[in-house]
Amino acid sequence: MNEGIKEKISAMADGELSEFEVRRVLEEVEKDESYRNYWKLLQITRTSMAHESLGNLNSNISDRVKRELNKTIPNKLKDESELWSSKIFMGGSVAAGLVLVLTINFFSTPEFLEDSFSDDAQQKISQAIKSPEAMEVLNNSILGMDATLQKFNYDKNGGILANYSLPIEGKSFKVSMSPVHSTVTAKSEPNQQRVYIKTNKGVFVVSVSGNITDAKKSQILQNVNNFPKRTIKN
Amino acid sequence: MTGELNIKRTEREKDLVLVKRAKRGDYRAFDLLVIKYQSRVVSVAFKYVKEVHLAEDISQEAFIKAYKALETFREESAFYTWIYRITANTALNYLSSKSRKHESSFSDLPLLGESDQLEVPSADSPEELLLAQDLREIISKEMSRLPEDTRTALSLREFEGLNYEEISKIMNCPVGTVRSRISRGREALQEVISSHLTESKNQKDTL
Repeated sequence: MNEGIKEKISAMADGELSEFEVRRVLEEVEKDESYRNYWKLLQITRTSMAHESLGNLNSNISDRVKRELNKTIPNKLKDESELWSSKIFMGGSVAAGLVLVLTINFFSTPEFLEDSFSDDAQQKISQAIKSPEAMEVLNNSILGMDATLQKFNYDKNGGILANYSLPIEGKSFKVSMSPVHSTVTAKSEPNQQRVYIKTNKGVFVVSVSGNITDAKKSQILQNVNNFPKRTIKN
Repeated sequence: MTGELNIKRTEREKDLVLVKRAKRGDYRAFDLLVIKYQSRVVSVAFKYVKEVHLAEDISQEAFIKAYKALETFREESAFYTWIYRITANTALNYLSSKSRKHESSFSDLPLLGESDQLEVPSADSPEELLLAQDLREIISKEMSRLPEDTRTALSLREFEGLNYEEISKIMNCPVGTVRSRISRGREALQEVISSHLTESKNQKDTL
């Protein structure tokens, strides 16, 4: 199998190929049966990573469906000349040194579970996240808010998690900062907003969840974004 | 503020390019959709008929019906929702016709309409649950062995749901590099998954 085609198949699974490229890939898949198996394995991998049901993996009915349909339907495009425009991507943001992309997600928060990263990796992440600068990022996030720290934890993935309350409003929220890889075992939680921080120790996710307003969550992440120091050191 | 809204690419959007080609008669595109969803479609059918071979027959029929009716598929809904619904209706039709033969109580089973809620299939059997758990552990372990950049790109894609352009901005590298890293990461995972599946199948065959 050709590495370039495999890369395109992977991108196709993410919906990141243009119509033209998809057509080329389909031609290759048609020529070489092993790409079909590659596609199948790719789907199993993605489904597993998404913690979704795999269904009955022993069932392979694609050949049967193909055979049955090939009897009656010609394997041809109705109109080859129709080309579709390339996709337009929604952009994120770039900042030098510390890069932040504000996202408004209403799902998927790190509810930290056990994981199996190597000790080395965990230690490295841990060192980065336990640095004073990392703590400062977290402290900075609640600037201008009358928030009280209720609870503070280091999780097993090397992330930090702080629970705050807003006594006057009677509301509470969580701010977490964790290496992006720790979300491998994360569970979903609704109404969460997050930003991504690129540091010399990797990419980290800062997330806010809780029963505060979306505007307040945005403010917290804005505060993270305005963090004056642009790197996190050991 | 330097950030912008992140739009997660849904499965519906990811499938759209294949769906559009399939609608124009390109069977190769439909074939990839069959491969992608077949195991879960069989699971849906199995929920109704409780027998694997029968569930496979029903799934086959559902995919054939779907291909023939592709022109009627409205792209604002997800392909998988549509195929699951066709499968459920095919299974219900089967049970209904069977009940007529045996004069049992299945004759009043309602068919699922466009607006009806459809239960998303889940791995029901202990065997499927165990396999899913095994694969997740394997993936987690293998992820920790990937080079940092590869692991980050793949994590941002799979766990954070970001698109390639957003990942390229976060990682400060070209989109092409993101695409390569994600592909390399997946390939490494696929290798271990493939070995595990083969091993599981061999064990099952020897029992």
